[in-house]
Amino acid sequence: MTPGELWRRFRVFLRRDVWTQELDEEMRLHVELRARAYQERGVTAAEAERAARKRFGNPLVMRENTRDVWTAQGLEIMWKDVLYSTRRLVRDRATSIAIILTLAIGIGANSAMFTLINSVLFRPAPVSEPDRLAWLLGTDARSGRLNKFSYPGYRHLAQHGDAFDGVAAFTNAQMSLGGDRPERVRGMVVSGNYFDVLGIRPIAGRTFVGADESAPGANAVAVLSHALWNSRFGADASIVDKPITINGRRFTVVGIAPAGFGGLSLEPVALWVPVTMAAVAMPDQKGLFESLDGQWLYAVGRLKAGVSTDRAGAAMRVAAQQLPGSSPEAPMEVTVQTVAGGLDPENRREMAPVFGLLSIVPLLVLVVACANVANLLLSRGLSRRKELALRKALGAARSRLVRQLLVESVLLSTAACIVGLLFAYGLTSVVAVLAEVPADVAERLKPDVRVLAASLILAVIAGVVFGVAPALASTDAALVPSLKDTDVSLSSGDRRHRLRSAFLVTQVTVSFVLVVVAGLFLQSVSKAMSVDPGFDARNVVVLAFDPDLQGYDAQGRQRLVTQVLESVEALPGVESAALTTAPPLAGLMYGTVINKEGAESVAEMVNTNFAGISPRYFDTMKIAMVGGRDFMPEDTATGPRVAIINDTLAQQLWPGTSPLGQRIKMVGEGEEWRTVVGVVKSGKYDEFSEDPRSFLFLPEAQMATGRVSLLARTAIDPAPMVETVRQTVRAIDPDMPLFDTATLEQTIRNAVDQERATSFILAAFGVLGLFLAAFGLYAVTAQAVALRVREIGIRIALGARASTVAGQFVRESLRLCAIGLAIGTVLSLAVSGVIGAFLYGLAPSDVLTYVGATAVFTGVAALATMIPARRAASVDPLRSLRSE
Amino acid sequence: MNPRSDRDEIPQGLLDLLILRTLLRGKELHGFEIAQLIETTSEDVLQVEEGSLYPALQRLLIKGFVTGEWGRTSENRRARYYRITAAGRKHLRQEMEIYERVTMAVARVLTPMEVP
Repeated sequence: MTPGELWRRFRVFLRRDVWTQELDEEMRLHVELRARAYQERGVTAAEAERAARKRFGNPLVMRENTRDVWTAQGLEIMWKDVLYSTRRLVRDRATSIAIILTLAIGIGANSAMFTLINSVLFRPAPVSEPDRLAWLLGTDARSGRLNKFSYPGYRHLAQHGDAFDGVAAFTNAQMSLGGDRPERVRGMVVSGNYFDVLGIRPIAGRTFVGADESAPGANAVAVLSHALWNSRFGADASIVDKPITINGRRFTVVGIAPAGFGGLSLEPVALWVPVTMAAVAMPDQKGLFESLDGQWLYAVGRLKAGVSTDRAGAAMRVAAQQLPGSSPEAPMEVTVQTVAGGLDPENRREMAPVFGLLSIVPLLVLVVACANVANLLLSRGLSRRKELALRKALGAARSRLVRQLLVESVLLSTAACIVGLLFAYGLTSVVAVLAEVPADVAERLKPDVRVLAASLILAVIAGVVFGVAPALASTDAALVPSLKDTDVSLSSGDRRHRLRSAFLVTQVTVSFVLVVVAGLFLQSVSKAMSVDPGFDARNVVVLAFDPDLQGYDAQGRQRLVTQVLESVEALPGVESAALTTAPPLAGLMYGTVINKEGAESVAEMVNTNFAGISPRYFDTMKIAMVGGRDFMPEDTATGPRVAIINDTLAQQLWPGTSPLGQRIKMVGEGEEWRTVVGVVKSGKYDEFSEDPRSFLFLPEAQMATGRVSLLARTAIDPAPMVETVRQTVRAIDPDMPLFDTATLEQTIRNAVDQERATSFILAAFGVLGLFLAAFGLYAVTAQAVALRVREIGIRIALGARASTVAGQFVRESLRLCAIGLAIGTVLSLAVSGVIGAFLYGLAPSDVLTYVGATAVFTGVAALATMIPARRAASVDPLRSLRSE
Repeated sequence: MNPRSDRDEIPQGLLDLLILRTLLRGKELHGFEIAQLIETTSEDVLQVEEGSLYPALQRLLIKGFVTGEWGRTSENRRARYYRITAAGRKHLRQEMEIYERVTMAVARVLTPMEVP
């Protein structure tokens, strides 16, 4: 049946009355015309009519035949099945609701995961014709690492981009927006054709044009995002052509971007400035615009209509080899990849496997839910055997019965899909609120048509899968005898019984794996968080600012930071204060390469992380000094170059000897030899779970670039002090935006949110799995008891002890549970290799976790079977025997 | 003139072909006209139990081989006019080829062998 035919059939089906009327009208006309033809040959009216009718045949038969034509392909039968199934499901309300909720949990878990993965990896970009928008990705041919492009490199690509209608470049930059309420905003530096290539039209004023990319420093214009225009300028269209202050320089607002557009990534951009203004937008990156080696611009192109990414990639091959900055030693390749999801290409490459792994987990929950539902359906199938047998005896084909049972399953799973989607929608909304996701990001975290489609497909597959086995088992050849039976026997050799046991074992196995994985991750996180980070994060207020963005020169910057430190230390309740360019465990790390004196070849270079700090940083953070001295106010910009290293770096560079007085040099222009004046104890810098890491501290005065964070140790609870400290710094320079204002503990918690969130998601799925398995055990035992009430009654009547009868049910269920746990243990050990890389401080075969999970499972299983088993013990023999 | 009472039954598939062939010739016809044309062109050899035309037309409508539009006859009566579609033409062509092959084969079997 072609789709067109199906559609026409469906249309007839919807308007059957009209079609029948029209058919009657046609047939009436025919008979009349025929009668008239006879009359014209001289036959009497009555005779003509009779003859015409005779010649036409029986109109009732014709109508009946037509009806067959309309519905021949089983649409009618299908409809009847749907109606019949709906009635059945409504009659078995309790079971239906149990099934729908169980499945809804399974499907909703997947929908929530789909929603997340969809927004992050698959959703089309919020631009016109998103399928034609593609990343141009520079790849280091040897390391396979993704690189961004220099400005000359981008120009080169744009000139050779024959496969594209246009190639645009952009990069993110935090900017400082001046005014009454100075604010740090996420800005973007873009090429003049950026908005054209993306196909974004302004809602007021204009976007950038080629002329906005004329010469370095010459294009002080800006486009505002709709969100910023609303929040900051009260949606007043007269802001267009007015000046605003960005990083201390006047820019003219030329236009407003449409609502909902904030660049390609999930995190929305608030304002855009031309790439030629990079020196103003990113003052800490000197000479970036002209640099041939700088790698700072993403390139994105609008593919010409009908050109595939592969063809465009092939077309770029030669251009890539001639890329400025590319050399035969370090050749660059350019690949072309459709823009999808909300991550920058590097993040996408890093996160995709993680999400791949995460997406398996809710599927496992669904497997448990399906096995559960299959058992419920099977049990119901058993109690419905008489009905099915009757229908079969009355002539229904087995295929018809199976089909009707399948329709029931699909109806159930579709209903579950709807409930599951609501559940997922609620879940993502709640998470968005809890995680304080900005409104425009939350907007993109909503389920869309893809999520709906994926969930529905999953639901139908699940419906068919969990429906097939019970449907076949319930309608097998042995149906007819059950008409005669007064009871349904459940001998252990029964095929349905085996099937039911298999489902139960599957549930226990899979949910045990879920619980083990969740347990491993939870333990890993708590282990990592309980590690001593080498400093005291309690009672510290953090506050960041960026003097460079305010146009401070080196001397001005020094005056500013000195004043900030002095006024904050003078506050009552503040014990000490210090500055750092990179607070620990806050997601901010700078890397560099150094040489020690006497080992200065390229091969002897050492990678390390570093931060610029003020005097008293170690005191404030309570980091232990191993030897030497702290930085002092005398270590000024013009003073002798000095450095403090941690003991890991000391051990690495000068094993066995004292590093004090030794000299090191950072690789780079204008760098001088620095004398090591102090050694501190190693701590944790980037992550709790990191291995000991080398670290280099420089006097902030000798680094003097970029953002700095103020750390103030308080004698009391730091939370109320946050605002006091903020006001104090604000009074020193009211134009300077202050950001990341919080306690150090909050900052650290936010930075490890991702690991914690992952663990909590896994834990939630583990609990869901456990709950479903427990429910499954309960339901199966309860059903077994219900079906064998007569047998139990007889046994009790014959003198069996109630506890023996109950014990038998518990034993049977626990035996299956034990098999599931055994298989689950083997399976968990098998998959643990995959998750080992994500764990900190414990082996994936951690005995404690396995023992704990087994104990929890056994306890829950015992409870789940005990409740229905006790009902078996309380069976009243007389009642049960009379019930039939 | 009375219709013959012992009419030859026309097989369903053949009736579909006759209708399509008739529409190919007559462009736009209502049911009665189709019946008339089939009879006159077959010189009254093929007589349909006329009502069976209508289930057949519905079948063709559903399959998308013909379209039906309500219009007015010359006497201003409402009637459904049928018209063959591209899919209908294609179907007719295919079926005719099969039909010709089969009839030729049948004819070869049924005609007495000629002595060379």
